[in-house]
Amino acid sequence: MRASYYAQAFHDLALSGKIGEETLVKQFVATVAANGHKHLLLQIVRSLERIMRREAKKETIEVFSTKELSQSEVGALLKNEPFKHALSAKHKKVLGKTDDTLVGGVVVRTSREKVDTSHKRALMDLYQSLVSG
Amino acid sequence: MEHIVEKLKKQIVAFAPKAHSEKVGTVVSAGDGIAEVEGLDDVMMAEMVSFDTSEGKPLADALEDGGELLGMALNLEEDTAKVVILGDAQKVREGMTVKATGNILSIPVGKELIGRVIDPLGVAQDGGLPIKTEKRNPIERKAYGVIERKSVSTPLHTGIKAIDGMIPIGRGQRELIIGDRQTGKTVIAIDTILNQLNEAKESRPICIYVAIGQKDSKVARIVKQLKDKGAMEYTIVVSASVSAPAALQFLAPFAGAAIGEYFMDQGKDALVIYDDLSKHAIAYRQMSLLMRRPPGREAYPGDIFYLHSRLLERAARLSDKMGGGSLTALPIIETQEGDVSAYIPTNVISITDGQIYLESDLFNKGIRPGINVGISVSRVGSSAQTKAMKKVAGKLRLELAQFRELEAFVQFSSDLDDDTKKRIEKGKLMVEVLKQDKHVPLPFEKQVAMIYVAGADLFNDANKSRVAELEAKFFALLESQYPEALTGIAKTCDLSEETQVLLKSAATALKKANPELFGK
Repeated sequence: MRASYYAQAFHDLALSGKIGEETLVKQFVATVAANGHKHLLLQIVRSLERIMRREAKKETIEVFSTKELSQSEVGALLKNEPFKHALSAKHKKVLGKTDDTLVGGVVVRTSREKVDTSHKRALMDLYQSLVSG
Repeated sequence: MEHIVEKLKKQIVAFAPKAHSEKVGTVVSAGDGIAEVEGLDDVMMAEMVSFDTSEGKPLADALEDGGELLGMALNLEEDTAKVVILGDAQKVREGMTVKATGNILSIPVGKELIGRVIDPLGVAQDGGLPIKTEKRNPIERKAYGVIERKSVSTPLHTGIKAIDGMIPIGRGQRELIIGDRQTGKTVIAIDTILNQLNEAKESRPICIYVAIGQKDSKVARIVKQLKDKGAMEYTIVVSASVSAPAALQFLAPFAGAAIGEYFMDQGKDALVIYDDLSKHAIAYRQMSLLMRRPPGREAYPGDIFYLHSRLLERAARLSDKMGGGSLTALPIIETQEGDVSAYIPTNVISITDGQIYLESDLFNKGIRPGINVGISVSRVGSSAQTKAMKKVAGKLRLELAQFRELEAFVQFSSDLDDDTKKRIEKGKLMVEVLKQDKHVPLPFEKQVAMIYVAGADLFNDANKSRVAELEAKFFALLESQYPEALTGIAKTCDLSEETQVLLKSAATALKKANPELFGK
């Protein structure tokens, strides 16, 4: 029985809301001890942190641009192509970030996808086509 | 110049930037050449991935950095994939974006590689122009099945008398060269490449020398030797030196096999030399341990046998229906203190179609190449020999085996009967005849001539310490006064009665002209 399996089970139970928090923790620790895996508790905690970070990332969209964009500007941007169809996750959190190195344009990033319409990428592609052409 | 500027202007005007929508992952941790990547849910085993090293860098720096940093996904785990970095691992940072390319790792293949020195990813290492080919072959490919193959029957001449006479190699065979350090393993491999100069151009195999974990100075020396003799005209060098990442050392032999397969598929012959697979196994062990794969015997991963078996199985001789091409493999293994029963040597011995065993003792005694004929074997055998060589070398192994048995009695020579003394003297002569300087491979017709006259007791009274000189004079005499003997053997690949008479006459003439080379 791996620590990551225990962590995933705990996470799923916690999200389901079927058991109260205190009861869940008590019963969980008791189950782990009964299985003789008390020594895995620290690893289980680390795995749980990883799972929570991963789940949080899945729900987050990061929007990189050269100048700071307001929430409404970001919202409007995400409703249009190519972002509208390119991004498939159900996102709860949208973070706007600045990145001067983009030169211009926007990069939208989730944990699984990236849509790059930055001028930096376009210029790098142009450079490659000139050099290899 | 104006033409170039105009061309550039047109390209800039025609350029249409587009949005790049990609499936990506993120580097969770990186170190020791391995990156753990999260988010690449659909990544395939051995798929190429690309690290975005331009992230967070200004445009000028990103362009100066140049080139792609590639990786190969080798461990597909529950939530992450472990990726082996095929380049400068220092550039990879936590949080970096990684893109799956959708392709299995491949290498450019084609005639354009001939004469070049490249790394396992196909990047030029010889300071020449970048490699551009039309085709790319996957680094890993399933070997041809039984039906697509034909049995090995065409010789691959190494130019070394001891090998071509008693341990013959055929095109499509795998013959292992095994021995301790500094016993002449690489010399045999290089001499085999050099000897292909003696083959007709249309039947000359393309040679691929794969240097795995070798010193750059050694590779440079080998390339120079090949260049000086004109052998680079049909040779490709794939180099993953000792300073290269373990991942590139792991890939190097597969890259060599992929290049060889290109020529084989075209109906041509190719020869690939893996120097050496011991270092290849060590690089693979390093990678596997860093990827937390369970260690087995001697800390090697459990699939170490499969690593070499799938590599060496790609050597084949194809049937006429498949084009009739061949890929011959000469893997090299370095033993420690002559231990051929160690793990990796026994693995590779069981895979190959024979082995050439080099002994330090023989080498140090001056018997060079230091081949222990007793335990060296070619499982293809005389099927890979010309008729001429079969005729003259048939008894050679037996005579040498008898000599070795009797060698212990040499110190009691006064007590031995005449027949035994004769065998001992004959054995000593054959040992001297089989000695050969390095980087002087002999065309097979000269080998046949020399082994014939020695075997026919024509040089029994030769001065043993001057056999090399005798041989040189014999060849000079043949070339000047009996050229039809050599051309006859070369054309027909057989030793006719007329040719035998000519060789005997030449031997007799040599004896008369050089009495100082005979007698004690």
